[in-house]
Amino acid sequence: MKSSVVADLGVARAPFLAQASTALGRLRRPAAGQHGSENARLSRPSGVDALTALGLVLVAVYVVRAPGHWGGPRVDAFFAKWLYDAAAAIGAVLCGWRAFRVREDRATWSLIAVAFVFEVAGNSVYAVRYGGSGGPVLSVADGFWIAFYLPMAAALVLRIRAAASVAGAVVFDILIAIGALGSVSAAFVLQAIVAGHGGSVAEFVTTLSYPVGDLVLAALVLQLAAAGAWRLGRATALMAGCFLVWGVTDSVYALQMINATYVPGGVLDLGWVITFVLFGVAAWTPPDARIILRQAPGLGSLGVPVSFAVLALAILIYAGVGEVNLVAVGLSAGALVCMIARFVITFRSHLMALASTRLVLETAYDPFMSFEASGVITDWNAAAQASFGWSREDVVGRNVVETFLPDVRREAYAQLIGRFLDTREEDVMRKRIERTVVHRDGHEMPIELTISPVETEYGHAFHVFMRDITQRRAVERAKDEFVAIVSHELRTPLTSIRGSLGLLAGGVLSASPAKADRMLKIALENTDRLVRMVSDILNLERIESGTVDLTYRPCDAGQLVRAAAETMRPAAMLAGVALDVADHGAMLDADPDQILQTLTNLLSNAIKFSPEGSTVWVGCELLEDTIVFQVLDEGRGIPSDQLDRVFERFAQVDSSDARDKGGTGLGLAICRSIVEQHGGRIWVESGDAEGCRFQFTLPVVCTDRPATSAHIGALAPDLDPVSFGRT
Amino acid sequence: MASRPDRARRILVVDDDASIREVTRMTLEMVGGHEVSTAGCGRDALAQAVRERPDAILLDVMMPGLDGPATFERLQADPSTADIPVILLTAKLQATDQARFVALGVRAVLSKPFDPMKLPGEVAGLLGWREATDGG
Repeated sequence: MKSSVVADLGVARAPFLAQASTALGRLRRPAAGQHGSENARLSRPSGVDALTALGLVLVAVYVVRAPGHWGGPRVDAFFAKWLYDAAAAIGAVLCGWRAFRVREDRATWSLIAVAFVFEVAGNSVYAVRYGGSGGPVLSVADGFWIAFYLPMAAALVLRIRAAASVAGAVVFDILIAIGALGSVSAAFVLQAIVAGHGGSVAEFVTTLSYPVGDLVLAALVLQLAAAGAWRLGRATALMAGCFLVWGVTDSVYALQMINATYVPGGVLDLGWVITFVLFGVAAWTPPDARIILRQAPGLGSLGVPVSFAVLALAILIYAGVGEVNLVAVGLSAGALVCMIARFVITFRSHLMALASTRLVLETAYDPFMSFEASGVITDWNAAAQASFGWSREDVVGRNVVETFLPDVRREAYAQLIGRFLDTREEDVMRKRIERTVVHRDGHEMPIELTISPVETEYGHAFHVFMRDITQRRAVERAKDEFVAIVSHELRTPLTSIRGSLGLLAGGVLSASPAKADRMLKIALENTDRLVRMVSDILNLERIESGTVDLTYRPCDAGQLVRAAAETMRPAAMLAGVALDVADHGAMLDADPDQILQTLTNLLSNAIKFSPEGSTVWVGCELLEDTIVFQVLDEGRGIPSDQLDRVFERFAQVDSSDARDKGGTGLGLAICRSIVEQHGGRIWVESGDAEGCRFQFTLPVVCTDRPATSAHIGALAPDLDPVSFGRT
Repeated sequence: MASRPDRARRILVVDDDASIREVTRMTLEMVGGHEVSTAGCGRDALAQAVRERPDAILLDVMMPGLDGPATFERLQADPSTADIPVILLTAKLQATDQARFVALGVRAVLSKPFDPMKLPGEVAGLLGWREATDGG
């Protein structure tokens, strides 16, 4: 069939290809630079311009010579044949040019160009051998014409792949479309071909190939539309339109040929005209800006319902015809089977995806929820329950605003969502932001969250990943307070240094040497104090940050106590304070240097706050698996409400005393850090005017391990394990 | 040398740090020519203010027990000391703190460390003593 009509068809097509490739193509050519570098490559290529001009000439000639289009006689076959071939060649060159010059979609345009070449080759062979008409049913030209469908189908498959991942569902969608469209085709075309077949098998297969090819192309176009061709940009959308018009025109043409009603140069030719026009426009259209990768079409994809509608139409047509068409029934049954299979695999994949997603969400460390544009919560994971107190059962279905947001935030939230839905402005979407929400028990809590708007088959929704930052905020506050305190504490001795040196430098004390000496002494004392403070700050920071590696070694607690007492003996003598050592000795695993520092800090503290003539005791004893160190003094004690504070940084019961005695306010904080790093505990007992009892414990790990003499000797070479007398 | 007032003013310096007390005292006496008394805590400052009726009080902010702002509020609450101008001396850097102190009603907030050669002039200027100075 096709072989006998293609020559006529070609005559009809020829001028419109040129028209499509030139006039409309020129009109649609984008301005240079409008779409980036790729578009610049599309602007005014001279060779293409020449071809376009030639195409216009061909169109003009054909229109002048073909009044048949307007009701007059047809253009003569010989002349129309060459015009057709020339126009088809121009189309092939334009598509090839597009493929050559533009990187994007190169394979697609190459395939279309190849298809056009096949079309031209078939027409040329047929024209050369048979003079444009009157050839046999089966000829060499049919090979080219049938080959035309292969690159065209491949081009469509490429576009479908760009629009949607090729999954089983897509393949089944195509099969359903083929079955549905095929059942319609069978009712009107295929059955007629089968009934009218009187030649060889080769002729029958050849004749059948054309409507089947059109059927496949139409099914692919249907799937491309269902997969969202319009999302890929103008070029793909136009391409899909080209194929659609092509398929419809060919189908109607086939019907007309069967019914012997086709008139070359008639109204039907407008279908091909539109097809070529659209291809020309598509070839001139800038490449698609971006490819939107979608998930495999879901149950809501257009493919299935459209195919189903076509199938239903086919069934209605059968009913109207009233004859049993086995081919149509077979295709319909196949389509139905494919449709069921498609639903099954899609449903299964959805279930698997859902199960996987739920598993990921339920095991996520961060709270997650999703809610619809209306604010109704639709999902809620275990971490969210742990953070906000609401169980999934309690919270799903509630309104996110009423459930989580403080009153003052509700209006702002409504505006935010409304603005997004109205304008798609993503000012706070897909960004890490911080907000305050309300826990189920009513307390407000700061969270960090990311809102991701998503478009579902049921409308807009929002996925929200959250993180409770209450602790982080507390740490930040503590850090800020610490920086402020450190700043204050550092500036205090600096004030004395700056002031005293400033007075000396200003010369106001030149006549008062005693006052000048006093100012120098103040500057010196505060310089030393500043050095100690910086050293203590750095030391504390190193211990607390873990950058100080504790060197655990077996050591004798009694030796450490005596070493500390020996170290502090000069200070005690200076203060007129007696030092009594009472140790029972016990082995422990610890960093002896750090424990020695702890003991000397406590002793220094005790001596500083002890009145002259009083006694400070230091000792240790083993209680089961714990060694308890003690430092007692007869000072004025610590008020009970201050006992917990004294181990904090810069905490002072009476800062004037501490400063007067050269303290930095960090000594006890360092003691606590060291003891806690060793897994021990430190505390103080005191009553007003009753002295202080500082104690700390360390776990005994190896009570049966003897201390090495070398180690102890290095620690305290000249210990005198007796009480140190008051000076 | 900074400007000197034509007559000595009596200034009460309140600071829990003995070194700062001493340096500030020396500064105001030797550079400013003022008569200076000192207190080491807010409670002592309240008593001395009532007893000595100073022309101005330089008050440290961070002190144990009664801190600077609390001491100032008590001074304001006592009719016998309410009219004594108070300047806060602070080592805190935060601008928000300084704004809060000014909002309490103190005359000014000065930062530590200070330049001893300029401090008396600044105090005089803030308290309106400038017209009484000889510019020397």
